[in-house]
Amino acid sequence: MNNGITQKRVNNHLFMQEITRLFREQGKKSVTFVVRGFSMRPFLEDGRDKVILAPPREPEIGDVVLAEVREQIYALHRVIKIENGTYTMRGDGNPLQMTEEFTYEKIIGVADGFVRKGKTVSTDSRKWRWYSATWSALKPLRRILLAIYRRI
Amino acid sequence: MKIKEGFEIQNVCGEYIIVPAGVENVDYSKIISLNETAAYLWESVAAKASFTIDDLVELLLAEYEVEEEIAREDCELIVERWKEMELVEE
Repeated sequence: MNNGITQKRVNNHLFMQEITRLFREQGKKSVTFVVRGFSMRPFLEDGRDKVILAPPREPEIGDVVLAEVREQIYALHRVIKIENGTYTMRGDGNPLQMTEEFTYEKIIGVADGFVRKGKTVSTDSRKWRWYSATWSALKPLRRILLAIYRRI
Repeated sequence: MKIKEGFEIQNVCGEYIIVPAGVENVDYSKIISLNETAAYLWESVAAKASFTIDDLVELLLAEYEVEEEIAREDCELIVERWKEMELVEE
């Protein structure tokens, strides 16, 4: 028997179906899970931080949304543009030209908060709003800042 | 002893897992995985107001070809683990 804590990785597509089922059939208000990947750096770190995901709703610019961006490909990124029912999002840590587009039906959920380094940060909090505004304003410097961050 | 409230057993992608689940939130960041036998025991006693090691042994013997002594050892071990993980209470 294993006595330690291990990380379990599940098939993304099946997990997304499970989240949708919990929202739709069981009326859950949020699902918490550990994030994977580096595209939301520097705020969210692969395997360390968690997202508290709420059921689909109309996102606003700046919201972090989990959506199916291509057949069975999912991304948790920040909405940067809304136009004629099409949403555009981009990972905070991704190059500026790397964006994804999706429509409302493709939304799995919208982030209500995060657990970063063990601390819960609500998207309503001042800290999150400050971070979001600052990061957006730093646009031209992102590449340099991310490069520095990766070396720390 | 009995199983604490606030846990749900689920079968996700063919694996049995125990997830801390309240009315509103389900937390996949702290899941515990169970093998088939442990899942069978869990499901059998989850709704009970109270159960003993003897109950678990009986359940194992009813479903698996195993000697009672070995079944008892396994049940004691699993209860110990569940207690460590604070899944059961007296």
